[in-house]
Amino acid sequence: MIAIIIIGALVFIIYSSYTNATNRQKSQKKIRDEVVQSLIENIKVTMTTSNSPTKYNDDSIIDVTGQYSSINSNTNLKKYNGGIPYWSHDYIRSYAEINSASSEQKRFYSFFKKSFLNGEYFDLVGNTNYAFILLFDFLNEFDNQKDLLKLETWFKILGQYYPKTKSYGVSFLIQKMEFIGDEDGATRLRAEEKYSYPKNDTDYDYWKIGTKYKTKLKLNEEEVKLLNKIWQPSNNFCSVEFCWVEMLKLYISVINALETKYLTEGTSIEVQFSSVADIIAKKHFKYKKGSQNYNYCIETTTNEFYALILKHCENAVREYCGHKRKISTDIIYTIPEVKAAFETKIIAKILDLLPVFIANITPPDEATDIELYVQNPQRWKIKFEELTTNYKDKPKEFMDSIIALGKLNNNNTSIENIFFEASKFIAHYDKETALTLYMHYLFHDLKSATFANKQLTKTIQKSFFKTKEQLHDFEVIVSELIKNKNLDKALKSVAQICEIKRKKIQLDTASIKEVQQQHSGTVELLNEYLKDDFEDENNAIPSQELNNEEVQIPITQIPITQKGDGVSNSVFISDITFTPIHLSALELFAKSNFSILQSEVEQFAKSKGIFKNQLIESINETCYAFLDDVLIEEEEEDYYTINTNYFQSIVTK
Amino acid sequence: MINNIKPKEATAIINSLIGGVVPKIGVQHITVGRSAEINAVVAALEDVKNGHSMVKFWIGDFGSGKSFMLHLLNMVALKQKFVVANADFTPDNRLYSNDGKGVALYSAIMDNVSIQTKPEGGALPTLLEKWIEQIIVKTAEENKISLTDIRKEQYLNLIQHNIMKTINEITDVGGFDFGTVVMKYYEGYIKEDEQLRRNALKWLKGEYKTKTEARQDLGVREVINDLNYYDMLKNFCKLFVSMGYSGFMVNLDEAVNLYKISTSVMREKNYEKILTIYNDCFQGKVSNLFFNFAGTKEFLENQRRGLFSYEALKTRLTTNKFETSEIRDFAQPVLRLLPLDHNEIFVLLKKLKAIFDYNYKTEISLADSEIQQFMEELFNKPGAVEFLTPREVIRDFLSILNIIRQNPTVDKNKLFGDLEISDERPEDISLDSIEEL
Repeated sequence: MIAIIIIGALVFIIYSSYTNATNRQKSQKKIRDEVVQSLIENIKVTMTTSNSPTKYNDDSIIDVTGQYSSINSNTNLKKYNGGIPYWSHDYIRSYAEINSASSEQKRFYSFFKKSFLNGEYFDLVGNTNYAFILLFDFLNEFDNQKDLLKLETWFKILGQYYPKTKSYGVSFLIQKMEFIGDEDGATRLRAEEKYSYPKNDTDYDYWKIGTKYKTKLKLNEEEVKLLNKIWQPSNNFCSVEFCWVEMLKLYISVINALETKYLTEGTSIEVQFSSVADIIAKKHFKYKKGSQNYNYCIETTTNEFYALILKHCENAVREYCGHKRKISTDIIYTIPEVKAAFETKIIAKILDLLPVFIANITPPDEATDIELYVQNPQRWKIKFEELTTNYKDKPKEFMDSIIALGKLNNNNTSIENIFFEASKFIAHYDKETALTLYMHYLFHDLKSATFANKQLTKTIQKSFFKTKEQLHDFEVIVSELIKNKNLDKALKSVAQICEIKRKKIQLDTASIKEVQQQHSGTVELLNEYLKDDFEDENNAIPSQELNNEEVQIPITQIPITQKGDGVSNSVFISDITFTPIHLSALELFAKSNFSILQSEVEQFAKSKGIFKNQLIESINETCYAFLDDVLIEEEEEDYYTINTNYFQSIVTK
Repeated sequence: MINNIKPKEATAIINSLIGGVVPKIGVQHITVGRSAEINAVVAALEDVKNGHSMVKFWIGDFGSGKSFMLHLLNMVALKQKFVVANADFTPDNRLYSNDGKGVALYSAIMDNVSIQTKPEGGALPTLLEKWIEQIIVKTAEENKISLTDIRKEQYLNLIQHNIMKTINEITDVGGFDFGTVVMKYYEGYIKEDEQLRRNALKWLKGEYKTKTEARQDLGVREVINDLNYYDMLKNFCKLFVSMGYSGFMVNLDEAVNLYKISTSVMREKNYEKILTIYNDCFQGKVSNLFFNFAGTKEFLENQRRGLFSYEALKTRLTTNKFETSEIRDFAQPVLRLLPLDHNEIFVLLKKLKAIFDYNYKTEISLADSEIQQFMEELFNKPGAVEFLTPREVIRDFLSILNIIRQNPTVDKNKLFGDLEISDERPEDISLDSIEEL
């Protein structure tokens, strides 16, 4: 009994708590609804209509109203109650990819296909892989049955219920129609597709490069088609409009030239590209010729070729613009045969053609330059090297060029290095320019993220500042610039310390006198040492006078020795004592017009039993004290010559 | 101001200095500011004349007047009856080597041997013949044979004997071969064999490369090579003194080429040779020998490559610690040529103007204040601090005097303003780039 009562009590408690909870939930829901309702009622909405008194209609204004309309979506799709097995979104390329699906996914797919064929279309809740598998499934069935009508119907339904597959379905249909020769069908589909653009956003050509640049680059239809095959690479360099346009121009020129080249070889781009693509499809991917994969591969590979040519063009433009970083033009095909075909038939030709057209690239304009310097912080070095290599001793011109380069690099994070390097370079040529550029360096360094405060080398400082005061003045200018960042003031101060202070030469009369006295003493001392025994004021040889003097004695006729007389009776002045051999030798000279062959003197000396050199030396030595020079000189061409003026001076008048 | 100058000296001074070279005569008249150095040199020459030996190092920057001083020294020494030889160190001439560069220096020295009557060099045959002549006279007197007869071939042995005897008396090392070669020279003369005489000279100048060749030509077993050439120089010194000369002076310029030797071992060996010469001279091992080396401050003082890198030389050549720029010591082996100060240059220019006027018998109107203005203009030109040398100052000054002489109304200020300074230093003046091996 007691147990029954306890159970009854428990049941009551549980029931009452449930009822409370339900009531609480209800009351909470009620409260929320009331709050929302009151908020909606309190929203003040101003409706702007075309009937407004100002009659001004601005479409850009979106009015927020209490009205709503549902977004047009396919509401005929059925919900699948069993829960669709999740299949992560992937790019489905063929039906074969069903093989990678799980058994649950496979089961659902069978169910999905069956339902589709029965006119029952399920909401895939984002798992579009099933729809794409179905699309390729239908394509395979077409390959077996060749029923184009059926395929078109299926694709239409598929596109209607699963819109993402629509464009692919149409594209495949067009391909199949073209394949079996149904040109009308293909044209019809294309027209329908274009017509449906506003609704479906599928006119891809509108967004393609060729269409976009048709007017700007004055492209013809062929060129538009050519550019429509490529996409704009998403990198910094290509984002610069100027570079991108130059790339396109180069690309068109290269492709046209390639076409011409192929034509001269009796082939065409299509043929060559297809043949290489064929090798790739067969050798690299190992697709069977004619298979869906094969066809798809040919198409994508051909497009890849165009993209790769564009990459080569991009690298050429990058190189031309001094953009150091290059993009990779490597190919994924590793099989030698594939590589060789690709290299020889396409790439080698492109690489031959590119240099021809690089010259036609327009140099970057200022805006482009600025952007490129930002993208490539070391790009300034190219222009810098050009300036330093062509430097022609004009520091002012060099500085102007560096400042101009600095302006273009205003947004470059390495701007201060331009001025520092320029300062270092010009330091060998012009001090003021070097210091001015160094100030520019400091100014930009101060503005940079980290203040490196690089110093001029000790050698440069040493050569610039001869005194400690100058160095100190310079250091003051530097510290002020760092403090107040006033470049103009710093530049003016630098110009001031570089002004050449004219050196005044101070002469000291007392020192001059002392130097003169010392020098007189030295001259006297040296005169004493250099004086000859015979020399005195009276017999110094006035060479000038001698030269001007009329030669009064016909020296060639002088009888050197007088017959029967000894040495003492010689015609020479008494201060000089010649030996008989000397006199004979001098007579020999006189007879030969004072110039005689060395061999003759040799012969003469031998006949007298003496050495030739000794004979000449002894004559010279005898006269040296008087003449202060040699009487007989050794001339070129093996001659000995007597200076006639000297001879005249040793002859008694 | 220009006492005792001879007209031909004046002409030589003006012509040579305008051409940028040292005049052959009259140098004493332009030795402004070098009085102390000259006094030291004259004293040194006197010492050498009296039997001492000496080594001097002339140290100064480019354009400081090292070559000028050597030239002056050369002139005074020749007048004082010295045998003088000048040679430059080059990359192919050095004091020590094992590939012929040492003997190449010896050959350069012997080629340039000069005496008063042959001041341009090439006096070796003359000296040799003079000495043989002395031997001949001596032999004739000893044997009571007439001077004519003694030269006959039959007395050849007598002469040769005396040659050998004298050589033996005066030489230490290599005397036998030296005597044999001189005998061959005499034999060539007596037998009228010109080739034999030439071969003997070739040997004496160190131009034989192989012993075999020398043996074939002269019958001697040795040749002068990198290792023994210094002994031969000493032999020659003794020979010259025995002939009556005051001594043998060897001037070696451009010593920076030793500094430039890139192999440290080879450089040290060369400095070791300098030490040997230094010790020989100052320890009295040789007499009447005077060596002069001229080089830059770097050559002397550089601790890594200069003479001071060789400790034994550093201790010998270190400057007198009590010396200052005002109080100089010129008795040291190292003579530093300091740049001329403005007062000295002023005196020099004034002196040059006087010589110029004397030479051209004119009186150029150029006041002292204008000379000072010329100096001021020149010293304020760009590059003056770095590379203005007395040579350039003198040349420009004389050129201006020449213009004024021929165009008396010319604007002097404009002439001074148009002055330009050029860097005349040799290309390889910068030694920083020499790579150490």
